[in-house]
Formats: sequence, C-alpha cells, structure tokens
Amino acid sequence: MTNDKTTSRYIYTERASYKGVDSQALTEHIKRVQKDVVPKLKAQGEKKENGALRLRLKGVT
Amino acid sequence: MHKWIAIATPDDYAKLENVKELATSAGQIVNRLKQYLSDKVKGVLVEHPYVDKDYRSTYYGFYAKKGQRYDPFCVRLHFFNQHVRLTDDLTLESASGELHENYFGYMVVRPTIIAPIGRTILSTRAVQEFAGAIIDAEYVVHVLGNRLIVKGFPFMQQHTDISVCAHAACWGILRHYSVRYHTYAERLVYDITKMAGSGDPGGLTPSRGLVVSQASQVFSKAGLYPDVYGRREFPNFDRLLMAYIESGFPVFAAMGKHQHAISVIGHGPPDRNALKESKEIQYAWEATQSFYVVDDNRMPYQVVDCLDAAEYKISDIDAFIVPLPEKIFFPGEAVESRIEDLLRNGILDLGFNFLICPIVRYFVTTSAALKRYFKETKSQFPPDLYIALIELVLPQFVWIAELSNLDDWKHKRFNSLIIFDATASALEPLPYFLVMGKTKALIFDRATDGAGYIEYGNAPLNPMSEFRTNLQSRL
Repeated sequence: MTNDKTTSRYIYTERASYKGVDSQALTEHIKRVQKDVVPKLKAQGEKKENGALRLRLKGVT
Repeated sequence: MHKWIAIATPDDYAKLENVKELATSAGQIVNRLKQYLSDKVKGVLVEHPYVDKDYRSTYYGFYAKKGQRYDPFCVRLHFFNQHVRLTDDLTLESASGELHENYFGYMVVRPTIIAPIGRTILSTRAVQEFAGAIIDAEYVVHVLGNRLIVKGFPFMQQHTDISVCAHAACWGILRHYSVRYHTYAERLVYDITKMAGSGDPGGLTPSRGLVVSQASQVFSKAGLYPDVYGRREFPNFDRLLMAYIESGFPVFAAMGKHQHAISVIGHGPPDRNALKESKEIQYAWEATQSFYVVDDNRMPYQVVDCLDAAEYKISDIDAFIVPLPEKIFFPGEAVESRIEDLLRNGILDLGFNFLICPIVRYFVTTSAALKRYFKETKSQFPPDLYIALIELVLPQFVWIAELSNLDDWKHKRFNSLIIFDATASALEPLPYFLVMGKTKALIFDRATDGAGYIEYGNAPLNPMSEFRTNLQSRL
C-alpha cells in the first residue's frame, strides 16, 4: 500500500483522510479492462450509425 | 379581440366554432380539445389577432410567396381552471391564488388550411389521465397585461409543406433547449427547414421528408452534439433511450415502418414489482414500460407502450438521436459496460457481493445538482466520505449509477453509488470519480491525479435515497 508520489506511478493525494491504494493492483485492473472491456466498446462505436442514418421520415398528417 | 368561453362540459368547446377567425380549423380544434383536455379546464380565452413568431417565419419565407392569400395573423387559445374569469373591462381575475397557478398554457392556431395547430405549450395538469414524468421548461406568456408562466414541452403539427414530422420534432427539442438553457439560440420553424436542407431538390415544397442524418445535422448546426443509436446495432437500445430521457435530454425517435419521427420526452411510472429475484444484473429501466412522446400527428404527451393495440409501440422505434450538450463525451453504452465489469470483477479489493439481486439505475446529471443532492442528504453518508464528495472537483456533467439490492430498489433506495466523468473518453480505463463499496469508497480525484480510499469506520452505510431532479415530477 502506498500514498507516496515517490513510490507510486499512479496514486498520490495530499488529502489526509484518503488511504493509499495499491498501485500495482490498479495497474493490473487497467490491463484487464483494456483487454476485456475496451475492445467491445470499440466494436460498438464502429457500428453505431449503421443503417439508422438512412431512415426517411415524413409522417404526413 | 379577446373572448372568453366557459367550459362546463366538453361539449362547450363547440362554441369555438363561432369564432370566425378559426375559420375551417374550428372543427378539428374542437374535436382535439374535447378528446384530450381534462375536466380541470373550465375556461378558454380566445386571443386574435396574435403574431406568432414561428408562423411568421414561415409566412415571410414561404406562404407570402404563394398565389393563395394567407393571413399573417394567428389565433391563440389560453386555458384556465375554474378560478379564473374575464371581466367586461378585459381583466383576467383569479378568485383563488395567483393567476399563473390557474393557467394551463396555450395553443396557437395558424391560418393554414391543413394542420393548423401551431406552437403549443400545455401543462401536464391539463391533460387527461397523465401519469408520468416529463422533461420540461418554464415558458413566459404575456396576455392582457399579465405575465404568466407555464411549464411544458413544445408541440406543433407539421405544416406538411414547409415542414414535416421530423422538422416539428427538431423544432420542439431545439425550442426546449433555447428556453431551458440560455446558451442555445432560438430557432424558428423556417430556420429549421433551412438548416436541414441539402440543396432542397424540387424546392422547399412539397417536402420530401428528412433522413435521420439530416435531423442530426440540424442539431449540430444548433450547437448540440447528436449521438445516433440504431435498434439493430444495440441490444440495450430501450435502456439507452430511457437513460438519456431520465438524464433530462429529449430524444428524437425515428420509426422506419411508419416513416415517422417523434420526440420522446418522458416516461410513465416504473412498476416496482416488475423486476424479479435474480443474481443476474437487472436495470431499473426495464421496469418502465411506457414513454411519453410528442407526436405532431396527435397531441402533446401521448403514451407509447408495448401494447399492440396502439397506433405504434416502443419496438417500432428503429433509431434515436440524442442531441447532447457539449462536454458529454462518455456514452451510455460505455457506462453499462463499466458497471457490468465492476459488478462481476470489482476493482482492487472492492467487490459487490453484498448486492445479492443487483439493480442498476444510471443517468447523467450536473455536478451542481449532484452536490445539492449530497448536501440535502448529508446524514446518509459517512462523515469523511461526505467531506470528500462535497469537495470533489467535478466537470459540468457526470454519469451516476445507483446500485441497489432488489428490496431497496423497490423502496426507492440504493446501496452503492458510482460517479463517472462524463468528459472521459469512452475507452479510458479509469473513468470514475467514485466507486462505493460496502465498507469503503474508492475516490479518483481526477483534477489532481490523486486517488485513495475513504473508510467508513464506525459510521454504517445505510441505503441511500434515489436521486430525482432531472425530470419534472417524482415517480
């Protein structure tokens, strides 16, 4: 556990009430998110506007 | 000319047929008012001539150029309850309370031959069987020296020539933005027709309709940031639609089968018994099975649900555009992905096993509204956490996700809160400001690159009350 800028790449805060977090564990979390979550979001973003933009709307009353 | 029509029964709306300025429109107007307005409406003030800025924009740009003569003036109908009367010397008198408390809004009637209902702002209090929550704004109305205010969402019929349904939907959303937020300019009907144009093949009339990309272009030109979702591409389409509406952003909805566009501006009450005991993640939005829409072919605040009997149902919406303010870069689908990942895998040593039947409710709000919520519900947060939250430097908008156990959700409470930075990039690995666990919270102080835990210590974390400020009424 660390709350020291000199020993952590990610975590530092001067707020006294904050307890330090494990920067190594946070790095592992980031790696997992980049592997498991980010690719799905990328794929969703790429298909976002397919088809929908071509719908024609006139709805005459 | 100002004329008062007392409404004792719905049949009294037929007296409008004697107002010669309504001309051939009277029959249609009478039928709609009879079917639509609640029995709280007891008086109609007829105002003529009325200069309507939206109609005039189309008059100057279009109708005045036609061989057919069109009147430049409109009629405006104002609706009041039983406490108001018009005296012989044209004073609106209120027998109980302030005049604006007894006012339900107005309807402009255009002198066009087809589809005469123009700019209309009505209170939901005047609508039969309304039971829901809508996105609204306060509209100032001046009549006979009075300054009245009505809360509602803009409605008008399409003109059929200079504008179609998609223009009317764009107009309503943009008018809402210009009234609700002063940073957006007012756009009149003719402006919107021109903004959507791409060369106007065949001239401005007859309108051939808009495609979704043109509607999106209208919002972009008005200074908004439209995001487009297609049902086919997003299995969670209805949930995303609901999340953006709950966030207070009116949505432009497109129905391919009907070639029709409407605005979705609210929803009906959630059925708190609709979600069942399950270890799988459920979303609060799945308990709400009806939306309130503004459809130019009908009247404002129509319910759309899943029933086959209706003219159309929710599943007929094929795509929607949510015109977002600047500084909301993190999309709804990314919020769902992150929540599901956190609930399954936790973050660091924070887990969510204490949520036996997890229910998720997520939406955008402003940091000002969120801080106000923290202040007003201060006692429900452990003291150290409250200080950290109230001091946290936030951007204008944040996504918040309330995580609840099923029983607490049924009682409008939640057990854990996640705050996302709405200005984060969709692919960012740590888009959070706050992740609350059972015994401690992880805070990312993104303004200072700091992060840390706040431990609750001996202060127990009790279920917290649902955040409700984005829509007009609490459900």
